[in-house]
Amino acid sequence: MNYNLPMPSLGADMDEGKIVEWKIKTGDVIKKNQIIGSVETTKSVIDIESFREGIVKEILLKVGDVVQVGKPIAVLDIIGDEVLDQVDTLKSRLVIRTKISPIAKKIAEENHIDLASVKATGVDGEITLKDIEESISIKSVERPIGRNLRQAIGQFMSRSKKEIPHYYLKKRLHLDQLVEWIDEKNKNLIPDERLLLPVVLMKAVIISLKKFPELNGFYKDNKFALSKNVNLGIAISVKPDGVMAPAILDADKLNMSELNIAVKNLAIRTREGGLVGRELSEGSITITNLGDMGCDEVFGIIFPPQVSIIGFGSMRKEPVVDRQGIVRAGFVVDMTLSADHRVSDGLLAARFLNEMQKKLNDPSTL
Amino acid sequence: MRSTYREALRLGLEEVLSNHKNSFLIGEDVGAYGGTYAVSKGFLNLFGDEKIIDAPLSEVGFTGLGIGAAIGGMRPIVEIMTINFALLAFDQIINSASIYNFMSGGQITVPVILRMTSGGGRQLAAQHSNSFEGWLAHIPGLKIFTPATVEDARFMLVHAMKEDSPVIIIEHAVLLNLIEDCPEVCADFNLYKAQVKKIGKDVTVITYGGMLPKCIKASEELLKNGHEVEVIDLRCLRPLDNETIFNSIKKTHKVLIVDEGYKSGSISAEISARIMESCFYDLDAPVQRLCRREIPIPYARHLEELIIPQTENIVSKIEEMLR
Repeated sequence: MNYNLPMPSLGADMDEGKIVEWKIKTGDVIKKNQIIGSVETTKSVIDIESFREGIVKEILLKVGDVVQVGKPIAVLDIIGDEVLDQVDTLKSRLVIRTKISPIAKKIAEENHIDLASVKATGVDGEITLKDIEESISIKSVERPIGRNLRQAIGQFMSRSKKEIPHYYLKKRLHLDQLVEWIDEKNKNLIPDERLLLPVVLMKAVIISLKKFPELNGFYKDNKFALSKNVNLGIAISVKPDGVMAPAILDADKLNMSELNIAVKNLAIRTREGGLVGRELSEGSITITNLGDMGCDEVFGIIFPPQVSIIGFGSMRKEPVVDRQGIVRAGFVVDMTLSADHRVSDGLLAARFLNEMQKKLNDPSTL
Repeated sequence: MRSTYREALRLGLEEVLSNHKNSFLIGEDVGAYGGTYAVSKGFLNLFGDEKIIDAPLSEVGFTGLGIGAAIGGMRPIVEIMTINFALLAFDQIINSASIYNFMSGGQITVPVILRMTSGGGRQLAAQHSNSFEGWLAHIPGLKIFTPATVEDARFMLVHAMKEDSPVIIIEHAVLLNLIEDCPEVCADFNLYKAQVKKIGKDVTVITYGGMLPKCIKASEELLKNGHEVEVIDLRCLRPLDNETIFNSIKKTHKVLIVDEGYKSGSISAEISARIMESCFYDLDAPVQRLCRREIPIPYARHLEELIIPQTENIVSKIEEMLR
C-alpha cells in the first residue's frame, strides 16, 4: 500500500518548504519519527520526520525542490489505511505528472514557483514559459512573502492580532528567595551545569501550568484543545533580523538540569539549523524573554494556534516594601501574560501569576 | 536592381567564367540548348566550345571529368541537371571528390563546383522531384550551399570559386522565376552564415531553398494575427551555422523546421538533434518539423501539393504551436 509522505507543516506560518537534504533512499525501511531529511523554510533548516513506518518506494523531490505544505515528497510502502491512501495517491499523481517545458521548469525553479499552483495552457496540457511568467507576476504582486523571514513574521503576527482577542496582565515577581536558592545550588555545580535564572523561571512556568491547562494548548477550528504536555516554545532571535519560537517538546517531563541543557541546545540548533519539524509546529505555549536586553517588560503576541505567551523582563534590583513597611533593595522580574480571551479570562490568568509567585517563594518545589 | 533568380544565376556564372581563365562549364545541354533552365543561354557564342561543353548523358562520367580537371588545376563548374540524376554520380562525389584531400594527406585539392537543381513542385513526377541535399550534407569534405534568394543566386557561385574543396550548389527549380532586388556588388558576403530573413520573438522557423519564400509568406500572414515569426534561411547545409539557430531559439523558445526533403534521417532531423543537444533548457515546446510526406511524389498537381509543405501548412502548424 502506497502512502504519500507529505511536506510537513513546520509551524503555522509555513506555506512551502525546500528540500535541503535526504537521509533516506529508495528501498530503505524507515520507522515512525525517524529523521528522513531536512527542509528549509522561511525560518531555518529543519529536520523532518516520517510519521509512518514503511519502505521507501520513491523519493519524489530532488534536493533544492520547493513544494507547498501537504504536497507529497516521498512514497512509502506501508500497511493499512487503504482508502485514505488511494485518495492521497490520486491527488499526488496529478501534481507529480505535471507536464512542463524545459525552459518553463528552469524558470520556475529559479523563481521558486510551485507548479501545482500554475495553470497549464500548453497544447498538450503542459505548463509553458508563458504560464510560469504569469505565475511570477502574480506572485510578485500578491504574494511577496516566502523567502523573507521578516515578511513572514509580519504576516503571521498580523493574522494573530486580527484573529485572537488578546488580553494582557503584568505582575512583578519577587525573586529574593529564588536567587538565594540558585546561588546555593550552583556552589556545588560545575559551570556547565549551573542553573540560570531564565531556566528556573521556565521551570516554574511549566509547573504552574499544571493547574491552569487553559493557558497551555491550541485553538483550532473554533475550539480549544488543551495540550497533554507542555511543549515550551522559546522566542529565540536569529540573524540577521528575526525571531523564531521553537519548542522544547515534553518540557514538563524534564528535570531542572535536563531543561537547562535542552534550552541551551535549542538555542544553538535554532541558530545553526538543526531543528526538528515538530519543534516548530507543536509548541503549546511560548515564553519570550527580553531581560538580557535590559528591557523591563514585554507583552508578546500569541503564536497561533497557541493561546498564551509569557514575557519576562530583566531581573534587577528595585525598591521593595516589605510587610513591615520597610523599603529595601530586592530582586524582581516583571512577568507578563498575553492570553486568548476565547479560551480564558483575566481572573484565571491572575491566579496563574499568583501561582508563579508562590512557586518562586518556595524553590524547593521546582 | 530587380532581377530574377534565373538571371542572377546567369550573371554569376558569366562573371565566374569571364574572370577565371581555367574555368569551364560542363553538363547536359549547357551549350547549344542554352541549359535546361536557360541559365547558360548564349554562353556558347560568348565563351566558345572550349569553355562551354555539352556532355553526354553520363553523370558519373562528366562529374568524374570535372573532379579530374579540378585535381589537374582547372576550375570546372559541373552542371548536373537535377539532384535526382546526381545519384548516378554519388560515387564520384563521395568516394572521390570529398575524400581525396584527406587520402592524399593534403597534397590533392579538388576545387570543383557542382551545380544542380533540387525539389518538386513542377509536376515532374517521382523521379525528378526529390530533395536529396540532406544526403549530401551528411558527407564530410563537401560544402553544400542552397541559394534561396536572388542575391545568393547571384553571388554564391562567385564566392564559392574561392574555395579549394568540392562545393555543391543546390539551386531550386521553382525559384527560377522569383523576382527580387539584387545588389550589383556584395561587399561583406559570407557564404557560411545563416540569415535571419524575418525578425520575430514568438517562434523560430528554420528553412532553406525552395521552402524559404513559403515561410516568409507564412510569417507575413501570421503577423496579421499578431504572431511574430522569426525566419532563418540556412543558406549552407554543411557546415551548419549553429550559432544563428541557437541564438534565435534562446529568444523565441519555440522552433519549427521546414524542409522539403523527407523527414526520416533528414537535415531537419540533424538540426533538431543539435537543438536538443544544445538548447534543451531554452525550449518551451518540442521541436516541430514540416517535411514532405514519405511517399514518392505523384504526378498530379493537387497530389503533389499535398505532399510538399505549402504556405497554409506552415501557417497552421505555427498557429498550433502558438495556440
